[in-house]
Amino acid sequence: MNILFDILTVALIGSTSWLIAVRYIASAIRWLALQSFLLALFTAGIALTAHRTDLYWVAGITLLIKAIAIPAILYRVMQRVGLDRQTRVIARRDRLVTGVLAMWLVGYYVTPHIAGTLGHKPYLAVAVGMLLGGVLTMIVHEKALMQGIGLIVMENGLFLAALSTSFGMPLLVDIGVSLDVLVIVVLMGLLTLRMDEQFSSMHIDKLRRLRG
Amino acid sequence: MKSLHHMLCTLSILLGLAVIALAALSFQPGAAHLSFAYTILQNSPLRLSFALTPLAGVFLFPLGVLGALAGVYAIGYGAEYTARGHGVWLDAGLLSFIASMAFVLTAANVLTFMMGWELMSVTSYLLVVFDHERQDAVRSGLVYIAMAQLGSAFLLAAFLLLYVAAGSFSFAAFARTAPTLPPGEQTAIMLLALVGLFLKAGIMPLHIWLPRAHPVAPSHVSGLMSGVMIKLAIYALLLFGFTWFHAGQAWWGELITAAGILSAVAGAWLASQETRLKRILALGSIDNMGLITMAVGVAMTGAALHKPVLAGAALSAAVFQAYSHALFKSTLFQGAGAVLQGTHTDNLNQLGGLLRRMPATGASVLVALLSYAALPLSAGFISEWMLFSALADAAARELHSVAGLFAVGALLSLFLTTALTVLSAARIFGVAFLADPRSEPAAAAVRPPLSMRLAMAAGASLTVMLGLFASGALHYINQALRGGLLRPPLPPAVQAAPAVTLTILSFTALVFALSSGARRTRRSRTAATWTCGGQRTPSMSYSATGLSQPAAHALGGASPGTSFAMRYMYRPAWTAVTHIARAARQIQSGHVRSYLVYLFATMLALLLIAR
Amino acid sequence: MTAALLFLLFLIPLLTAALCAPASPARVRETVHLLGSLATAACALLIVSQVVMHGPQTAAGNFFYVDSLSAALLLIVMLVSVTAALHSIGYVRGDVAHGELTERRVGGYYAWFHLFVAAMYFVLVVNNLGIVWVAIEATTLTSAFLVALYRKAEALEAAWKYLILCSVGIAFALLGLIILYAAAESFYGAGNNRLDFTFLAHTTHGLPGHLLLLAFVLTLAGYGAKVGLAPLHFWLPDAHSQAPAPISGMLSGALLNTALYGILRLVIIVQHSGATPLVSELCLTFGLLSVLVAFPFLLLQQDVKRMLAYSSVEQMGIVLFAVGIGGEAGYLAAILQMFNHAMTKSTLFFSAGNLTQQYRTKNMSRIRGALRASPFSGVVFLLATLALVGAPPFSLFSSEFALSAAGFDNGHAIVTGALVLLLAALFGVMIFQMGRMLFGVPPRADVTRASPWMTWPLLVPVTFALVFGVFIPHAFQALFHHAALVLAGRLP
Repeated sequence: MNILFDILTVALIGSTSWLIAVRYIASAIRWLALQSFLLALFTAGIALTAHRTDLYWVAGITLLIKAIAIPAILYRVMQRVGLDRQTRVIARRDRLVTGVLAMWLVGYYVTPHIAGTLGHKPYLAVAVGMLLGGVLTMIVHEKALMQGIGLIVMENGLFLAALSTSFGMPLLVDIGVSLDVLVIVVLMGLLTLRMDEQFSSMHIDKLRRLRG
Repeated sequence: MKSLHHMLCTLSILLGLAVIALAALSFQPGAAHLSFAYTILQNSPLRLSFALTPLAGVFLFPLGVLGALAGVYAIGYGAEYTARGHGVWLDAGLLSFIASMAFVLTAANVLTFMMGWELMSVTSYLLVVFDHERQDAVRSGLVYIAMAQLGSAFLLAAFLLLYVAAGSFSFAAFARTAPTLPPGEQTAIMLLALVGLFLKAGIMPLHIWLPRAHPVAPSHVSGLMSGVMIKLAIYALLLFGFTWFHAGQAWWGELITAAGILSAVAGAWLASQETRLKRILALGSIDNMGLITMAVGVAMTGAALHKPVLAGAALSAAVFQAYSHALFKSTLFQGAGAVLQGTHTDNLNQLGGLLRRMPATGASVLVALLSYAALPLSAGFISEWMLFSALADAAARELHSVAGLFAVGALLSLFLTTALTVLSAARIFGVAFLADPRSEPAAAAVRPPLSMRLAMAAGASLTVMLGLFASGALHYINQALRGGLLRPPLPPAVQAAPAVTLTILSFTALVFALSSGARRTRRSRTAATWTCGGQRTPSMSYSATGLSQPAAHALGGASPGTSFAMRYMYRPAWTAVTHIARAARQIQSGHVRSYLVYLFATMLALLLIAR
Repeated sequence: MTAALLFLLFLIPLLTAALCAPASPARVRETVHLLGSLATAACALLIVSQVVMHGPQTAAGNFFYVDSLSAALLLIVMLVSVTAALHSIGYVRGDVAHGELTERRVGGYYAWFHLFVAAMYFVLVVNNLGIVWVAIEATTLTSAFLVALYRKAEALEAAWKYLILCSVGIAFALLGLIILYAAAESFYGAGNNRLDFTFLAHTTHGLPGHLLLLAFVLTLAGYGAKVGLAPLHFWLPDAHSQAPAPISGMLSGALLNTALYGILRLVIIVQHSGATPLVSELCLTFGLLSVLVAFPFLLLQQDVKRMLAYSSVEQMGIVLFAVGIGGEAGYLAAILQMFNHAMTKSTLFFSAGNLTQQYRTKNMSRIRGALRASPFSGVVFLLATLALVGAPPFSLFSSEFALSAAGFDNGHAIVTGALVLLLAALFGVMIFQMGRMLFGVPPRADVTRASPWMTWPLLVPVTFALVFGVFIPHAFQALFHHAALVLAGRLP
């Protein structure tokens, strides 16, 4: 069973790294859906091994909201926006991937004390890496939707952290967090659409009126 | 509206009288037991506490007198504002200004003091910007409140250090603990307090707000600001210097003396070159505050060197100088207000011949100017004579030490200041009140209403009375100071004053008699002024600028002073601040991604710290 | 009793929101809004009085927990939101009259207003820190709709930045909570209450220090982004300046404190398990940095609402500084500062809203002579500015005095001295900015008059700002003291 978790973890690392360098928004959404699906799988696996029935619920919710609903919303938004479908990044893509990998080093450097006390070493490091990698994705991408995707990556990282340290947060909290994330995505989608109306682009560097 | 105006003015007068009563009460033996406390919030430092001390009484007295006079003056002066519909705010401001100063003087702990102190700053700021349609009023007010607030911060820091040492906010605890502190800590506290107090007192080079703010305030408020408010800095200086630190180290006093010397000379010099009446008076306040500070400094040095006689003489000279300055300066400001309201200008070069249009004002101003110029028979003369004798005494006794050097410097600056002040006084009266009107408005000057004339006359006669009954007044002052500050009896330096007055007067009379006798023997005759055959115009008479020209030439042309401090202190500091601010503003660039970078970096740093 | 009240506290706003959105005639909508707001406020006030009289309250099987700290914040949110609700009526009418808003969007405004208020109340009364997180995120979402209300480019931009930066920040806070939860579970075994504040604050053996510290640091910075602590504050001036004025008042007066509440709960927990000096140092650093960073922006500001927003950054910095000072005195100062700032700043935003609506501009150099043109709002703005900069006899003077006393007392003399000096400098800056707008001659005669809905309600917060400087009623004293004791961990 452990080998499955390890494979899943590697897949999470891979998807996060790939997401930062992806060329088309549509493929980024697909990668995100995949990542969320992997996470749901991870949850189900833990539910199976730890005999925690409540985690099945969590897995189901994750699958429903993060792997299906959110990508669907993002996809709709992207289609409504029109032709503006390529991503834009501020640096060369190989450097970006190196940057994300550096985040895992940070994760490993930061977590040993925690993990030592709690005893789930690699997963927590990966989670912190995903969290930081998500922020990095938001920093380097210039398209509004990609910022939303970065945010979901962060949430996925948090989910992994909760899962790996204490079999997830209390069920109510998990549901609340998922709903919040869903609303954030809806809101971001709305704002992106309006941005497209106003500036005919979802380039966030257009948002520079408020300064000083 | 009008009845409310009258009611508020009456309240101000009553408040003034009540403050006088408090002052009288504070000189009574049992006054120390009169205290009052009020808790704002339980178990917290938020507690107000009031008490009466003789030292506060010394300053409460002029506050009450000038407050009541300002209330009388406001009846007439505020009528114009009331007619425009917002005079009531001015009256309310005056009332709370007087109240806030009484608050400071009756404070017995830090919160009470600071509350009163800042209330005083804020109310006076609001009064300074009362004519806020005028751009210069708003700008002057801003300079004033900004500097006052900086001063408060320094003062608060000094108080809080004392609090940490004493473990209590009460002034009584400070008096017990302060002298026992290590010298380094004492010095730190004293220096912080000095910055704060000098800012309030208008001591150079922290004075730049004073000549800006005082002239633009309504005139009776200017009178209170110059007459009382800045004196409260002296009160606090005495609290710190004597009541709490027992004069501390000798160099503190020397430092204070040096600051006083600079202000006295430079203030008098600037005043003698200025042509706007209210600015002259404001700059004159700097010079008088310089003299008072100088005397306090000498007193502190004397006390630190255990020369009680010397210290006592200088201290009572300082207080007496404060009294006479309070009285004559408030009268002068009120006179300036009358001129301003009557002619709508206070530029000396456009005034002239006002004595004929407003004789009562002219007479009051003349009497006050006698004190300003320290001419014999006036309170100003007595005070400067006391100052002179105290300084001369100090210089003579300490001739071979550093302290003596400062005393000599103070003495020299006293001479110079007095000479320059005579020039200023002559300019004010000679140019504004004598000669012919130099402009239309001056020719059409309207005499002030009865209440204003009454207030000015009362102020002027009080000045005269202070001069006449100087020894009586001094008796009370000395008693109060002895109770609060210095144990040993004070020498009655003032006793020499009548003799000197008599000498100078008879000498003057002799000169006058001789010269008039000489003139009579020469058989002079009176005729029209020679005008090269042309029409005689008012502009041919001496102007204010012309009168001060010789002094300007003698001292090397352009006036230094304010522009010096502005050029080398305030402007560079301001430029630096704005430059840094402009540069720092770049961080809010509008790029949401750069904001994310800041966030990312912060999180990363925190994760590494807390690892 | 409390359970019913808590139930009503959320039922009424939800109901009001549901009714406001479709209600078509403006009169009906306004009446529903008014009644709903007053009823919600009454519930909140009753809960607060229950806490003051009977101590901490729990309901719904420990799901809800209201102690003095939450009661003090409930009071703040209640006062600010009820004033904002009254002010809204006049302000929205003005916006509709000026063509800034359509009737249809007014319904949305009122609906989101009530959801926003409910979310803030929810933050303050739930026990589980995870739910607190969810609720704080919910406040972001509900208020983001309000920030984006005017569908202009600027409003859109502000809402976007608000959403992105707060969500990212708060994600880190969740990581902190996850670590906290994991620590609690691994030391005390699994259980339903492991993330409850009541459990974490009273654990028998405490929790491992380094885990707690990490959890605290992450929550501090995470929620700090929402509190507007420098250098995480960049969204704040944008969002606060673009929202409608009543919402700006609520964002600054109520929401920032609500977010800070999340940090305060962690402070209590960390203290319980042996406070480390790092906690205090971090609070002091972030606090002082916020004051420092706000300075240049206040000095060179042209937009009145941005200026007020930067001042909120500064003020929240001061509150955090007081938390960093610690001890009962420091916490008391923090509570006082929060309350007083909320009253003052909301007044300022509301009256600034009146001025901007009357002058049709937010540029301070074009708002001139407001004291003449709009005497009521002008005088209120003047008083509130004086209150804000800490002039006596206003309440912020007292709380800042208490703060500096506590700072010197607890051995932070130098940083506190620096803060005092900075505040003095800011005094001049704020007076300068105020003078630009209030003084002088009004530019034109046709400045419109404000409706009574926009003027009289302002007397509520401004009275608190004025009176609490010299007189604090006994019940409030008890509440503030108990809240400080809760923060110091000396009261259950």
